[in-house]
Amino acid sequence: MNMEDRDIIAALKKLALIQPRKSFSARIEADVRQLPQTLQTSRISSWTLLPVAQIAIALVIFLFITSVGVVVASDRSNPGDILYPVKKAVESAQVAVASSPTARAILQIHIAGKRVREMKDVVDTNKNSQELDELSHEYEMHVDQSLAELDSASSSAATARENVVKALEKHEETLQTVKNEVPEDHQASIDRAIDASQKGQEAVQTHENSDHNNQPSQGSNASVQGVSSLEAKNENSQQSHDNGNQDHGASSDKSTHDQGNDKSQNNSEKKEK
Amino acid sequence: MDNWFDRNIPLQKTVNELVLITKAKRGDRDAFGKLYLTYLPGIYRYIFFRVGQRHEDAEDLAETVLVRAWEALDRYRLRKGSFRVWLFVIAHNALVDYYREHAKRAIATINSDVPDETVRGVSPEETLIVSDIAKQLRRALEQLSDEHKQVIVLRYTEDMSYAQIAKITGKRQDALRALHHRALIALKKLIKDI
Repeated sequence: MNMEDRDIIAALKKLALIQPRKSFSARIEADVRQLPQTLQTSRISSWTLLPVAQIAIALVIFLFITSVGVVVASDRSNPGDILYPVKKAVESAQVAVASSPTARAILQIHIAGKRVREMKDVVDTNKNSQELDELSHEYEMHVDQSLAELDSASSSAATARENVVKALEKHEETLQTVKNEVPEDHQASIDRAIDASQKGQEAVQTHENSDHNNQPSQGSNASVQGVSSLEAKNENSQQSHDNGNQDHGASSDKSTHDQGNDKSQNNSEKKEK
Repeated sequence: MDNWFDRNIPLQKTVNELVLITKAKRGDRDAFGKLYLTYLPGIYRYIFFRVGQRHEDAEDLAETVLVRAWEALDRYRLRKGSFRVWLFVIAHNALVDYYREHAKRAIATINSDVPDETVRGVSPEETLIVSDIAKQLRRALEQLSDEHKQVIVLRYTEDMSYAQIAKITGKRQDALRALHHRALIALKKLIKDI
């Protein structure tokens, strides 16, 4: 290739600097919000999910085959550990294959609980605050995602909502303990997570108060139970690691329900689906 | 967070994109919006160079692609190829319809002042150099045949492989390689003549 061709090609590649006008990107964002609901949005068949589920399952199986302990061990890993990316990939795969908003809501709150445990571990090992800050943001994100899934779940998912509230209460309890152990200049991250937990509890309880006549359906309970067994497997792997901080409300024995948080009822952000 | 997953950008992107696609196929408009905005610059440029480099027409067509992609999302299958290529196929088909409805206009005259907002992330000094070369190149590109223009833009500006371009245009890879060779010759000649 002579110099001339190289110059032309270099100049052609620089045309990639051409971007849509900023006003157009904003217009696209507005267009997206107005996209019509199509038939596909009501229910996705398992056949449509199959390729994504296959990839997710293949990833988990591959990891299982390479080392039975890898996936299990990864669940105990923390930010900075070599297996931590595996843990997060497995979490993504679990959410991808979950078949209902209720199941995804429980999964997301379970993953949020993992972030709480990790925050506790970070504090216990005196790691830097940047990880605390990132974990706190991720906790908030998973709580938001759980609430968004509950919003799109049927009104009969009362048991799931109850479990989410119980889990959030447990998170708040743990986070308050962690806050007491953290130096003052690191407490803002923990406060953010506590705030997310409290707002999540309020949001779900507000929803429950407006739907207090609904009874949980068989289907809803079935999906919650299915996820509970998943949580039970994860719980077993966590027993030696976890010092008793349990975040899945399905197996919680806590009977008292603290409704003492008489804060003003702010509506949670509802993500449009 | 400095860890293997965050450093392994391709894997991270793949997992994130998989999750977004799954959500979008369930009707999550936000997820679909994120996907589309990720690939909008490339889609936009592809259309832009094929509609006489007119922003208004490119924007209208890019909006058409958005709507068509949303409506066709149910038919998208991961095993059929990447989401990006799938979007480009929709853009290609939208352009075919566009040509059918509109007679091809006379070669667009390019403004002597390239709007700054269309060239981002470039230093002021570099903007001047890029603009002069870019204007010359853009004039020459505009005079290429649509076939030549397509393969040049997809290959160099959008950095696509022949396999990807073949999926978008429906042409065979060997035909594309020959087309590419002829397109570069034609482009060089046009640049010399400007």
